[in-house]
Amino acid sequence: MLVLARKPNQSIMIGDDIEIKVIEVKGDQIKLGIQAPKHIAVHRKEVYEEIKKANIEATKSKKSESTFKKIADLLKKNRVEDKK
Amino acid sequence: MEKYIDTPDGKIAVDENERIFFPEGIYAFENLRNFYILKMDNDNVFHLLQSEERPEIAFIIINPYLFKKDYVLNVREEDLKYIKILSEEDAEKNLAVFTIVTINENSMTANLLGPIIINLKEKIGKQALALNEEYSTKHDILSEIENNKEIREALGVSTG
Repeated sequence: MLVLARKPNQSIMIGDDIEIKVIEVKGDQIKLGIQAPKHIAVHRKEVYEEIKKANIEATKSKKSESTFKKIADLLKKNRVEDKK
Repeated sequence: MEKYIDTPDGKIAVDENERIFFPEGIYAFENLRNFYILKMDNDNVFHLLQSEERPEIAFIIINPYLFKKDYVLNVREEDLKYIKILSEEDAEKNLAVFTIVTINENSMTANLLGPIIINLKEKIGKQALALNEEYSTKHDILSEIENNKEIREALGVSTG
């Protein structure tokens, strides 16, 4: 990992199109501004990690077909009742 | 064209034309590109997003509008463009939204933070990140439903 030290209002360029700017430093919190082309997604890392973890956990789900049928019936019933 | 794919429940017949291509796979499974959507029940409540490349990988998915009346799909426009949904008309006609379900001993939850969006016409899909900060990866499906005691019993889930 490349480590660079920046002061507030200083920036880092990643390639030609991505800019990360230190907006403000308050205690142990750093506010960063990010400018990137629209097709590049920018998210907090924890979000990515959380989704990956959830996907992996989901593949371990195991339930019988009949259970799903029962739940589907109940969800359907729930929908029909709403229409009243 | 019919063919057979391997699934955790054995070989299933599928129509090759129904294959959905995920150019980026889904998070944690980025190298899995080809999926089929299989039925799980006759009311089309649950489906299985079945990987073709790895037969043991299959995700239970559900349309979030079915259990959350106020569900809003709030993802980057770029994500919709990526699967070739370019207009509201496109979205109305061809966009399918699913959330991945996790079941364990005590709960059934849906991942609202990472919805699966699919263009049913172009057969392209992707997992997008929701911009709604209050959505979680473990949204309790059961609590959204009134008679959840019945459902918990059906699931064989403890009420504790």
